Amino acid sequence: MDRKYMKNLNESVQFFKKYKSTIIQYAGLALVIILFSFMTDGRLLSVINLKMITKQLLILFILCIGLIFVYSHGGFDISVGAVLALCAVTSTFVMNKTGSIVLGFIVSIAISTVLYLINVTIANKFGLMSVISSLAIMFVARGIVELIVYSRSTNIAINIDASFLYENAGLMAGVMIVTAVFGIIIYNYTKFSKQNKAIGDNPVASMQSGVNVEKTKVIAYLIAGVCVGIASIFYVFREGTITKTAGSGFEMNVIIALIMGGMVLNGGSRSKISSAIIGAITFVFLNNGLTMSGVSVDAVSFVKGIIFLAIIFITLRQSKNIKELPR
Amino acid sequence: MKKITKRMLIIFLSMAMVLTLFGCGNSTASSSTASDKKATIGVILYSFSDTQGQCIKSYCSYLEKHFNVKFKYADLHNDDSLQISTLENLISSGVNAVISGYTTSLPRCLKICEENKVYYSVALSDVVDKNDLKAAQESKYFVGGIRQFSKNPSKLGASYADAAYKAGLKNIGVSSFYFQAFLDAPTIIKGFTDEIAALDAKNGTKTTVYAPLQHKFFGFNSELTTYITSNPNMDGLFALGSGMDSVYPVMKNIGKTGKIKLLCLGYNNSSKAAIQDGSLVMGGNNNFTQNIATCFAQLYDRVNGNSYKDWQVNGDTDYPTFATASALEDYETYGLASKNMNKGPVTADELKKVMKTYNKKATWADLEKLVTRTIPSIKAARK
Repeated sequence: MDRKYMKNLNESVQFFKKYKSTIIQYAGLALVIILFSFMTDGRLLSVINLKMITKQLLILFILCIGLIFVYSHGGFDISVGAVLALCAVTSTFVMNKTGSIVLGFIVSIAISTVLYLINVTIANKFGLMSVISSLAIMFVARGIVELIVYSRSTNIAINIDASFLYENAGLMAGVMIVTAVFGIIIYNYTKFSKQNKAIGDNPVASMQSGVNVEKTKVIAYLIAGVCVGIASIFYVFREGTITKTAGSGFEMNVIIALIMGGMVLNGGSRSKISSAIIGAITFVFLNNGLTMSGVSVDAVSFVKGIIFLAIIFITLRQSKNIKELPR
Repeated sequence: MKKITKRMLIIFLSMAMVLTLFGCGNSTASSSTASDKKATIGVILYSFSDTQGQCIKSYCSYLEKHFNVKFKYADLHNDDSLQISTLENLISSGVNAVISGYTTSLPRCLKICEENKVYYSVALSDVVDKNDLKAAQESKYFVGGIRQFSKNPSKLGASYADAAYKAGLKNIGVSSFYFQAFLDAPTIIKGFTDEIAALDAKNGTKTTVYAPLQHKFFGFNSELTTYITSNPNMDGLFALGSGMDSVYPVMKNIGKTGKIKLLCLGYNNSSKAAIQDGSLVMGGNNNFTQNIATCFAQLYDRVNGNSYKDWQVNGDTDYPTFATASALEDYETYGLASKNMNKGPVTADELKKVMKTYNKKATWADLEKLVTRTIPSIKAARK
């Protein structure tokens, strides 16, 4: 009996060690859901709230899926909010003028991918850190948005009635599932993605192994650009009105969500697409739960900071157990 | 040893988080009126850490003690993108009414409110944009917006001109948030320049008012510095964009306080010292208590199934100004009333007299009359 018990215990410990990072990742989400379900008397998981969470999640979800490709090779992007805002403004004009949502998507994706290609080209050609090139793109995009917004006497508002794009939680869930499936396939089952993660581990070794580092980075930014372009259309219909600060919080939100999902911001082989999925869901549940449970506004930032710190500590602890290649 | 420290740190952080969550989440308010339907009102602002946010929270706490109401606060951290999510989260938490600072994404917000049968009001802005106005007029759940400078912003500009002229200023600069973001600014500035011209014509003097500088909400230090240095004769600056919070610090940094006298829209803890040392000729600020009082009265009435027949989309409140230390003291005592709300602009008893829930004969005009009182008339009422 004792031997059997010890064997089971040993197997459980081995299982935990093997899947430690995944368990921690999901445990974070579970902790947030359980804690706030308790604090909101179960209203956190009510149908009405789950619908609202779905609506809140969509944009961040698409952005996280797109940008995880950039972070996986060690890239860093803080232009996402400004690029999203510029795409939102221009696509609003196009859709109002033509009445075509499809054209809006095309224009938005085109602008976003061009900006991300400029971003990665600057980083590649001039050997700049990706955060610096994204900073430049951020200023340019935000500057154009402000110029457009300030040059008009009325709000920039979408005039097309497409309520299904911001009211239908089922459709939004469907879009997220499709995005996740595409993300999982590209991230887990393509040669490009393996090379992308290898660059995150060690760019020099990857290059010497025959990986075209620049080309791989360009593809990663291209995917990010497409996702940002798509997300911006949903942003337009959700907000209805585009202001000068449109999208301004997304730069940090994406980073925080990815870290909450267990993403190592240096990238590399330990990066997982589930970091984007779980991280985005955890982030939205956390924000929703904090407001719903009536936590004082003065304490919200503190609580977020504590949770963030706790996750970083846990992530740091696990990364020490993994041997890394010299960089 | 390192392991123990880390574990201790994790345990401490976890405990701090849990204690904070429970400590803050279980705050309850006392209410004195049990017969009314309970109103749970969400308040959405850009920030609660400034004078405006603190004053609003303070008055809401006072209302909780005198009405069957509970307030829930949500901070946007100056990020418009969070408006809709924040509204949704508040609705999920069970609010039946919401006070929003501004008209951000108003049509979408009203649609969400209609779906969830939640009343919505705007405390610090009127509804003027044509899309917003259409949505507000069509919605059964929109309770009202508020003109910040009453119906006559040019009169406010003229009062600043009178103060500038009295102070002997001859070369006056004007700075403001971009006019697209601050719609009343051109009218206020016109009122200012017209009054200066009228005073010059009457007294045979010559006062120069420079072309206005328009700037962003943040990060305009260099633009303002250039504006000041490129007009070396400037001896006064009429700052319309949060003058005390954003323009005054820049002037301090470049050593111009006192040399260039400030006239500003805005108030903070530095106002008193600035007016005493003469660097601030005239200041002013919203009467936030009046703003919240009018929003609350209408939301509470609606929750209890009452509404005014003479209701209008946009109401008014007073905009107090102060050019002397004693006027500033009166504003702090009878306008902000942070120490004693019973001396403040709108007491609970006064409010009940103009609310349909307590007085079936009450009208929207009665409410307007109450919430547009000037500081001297409030002071007189408290004696």
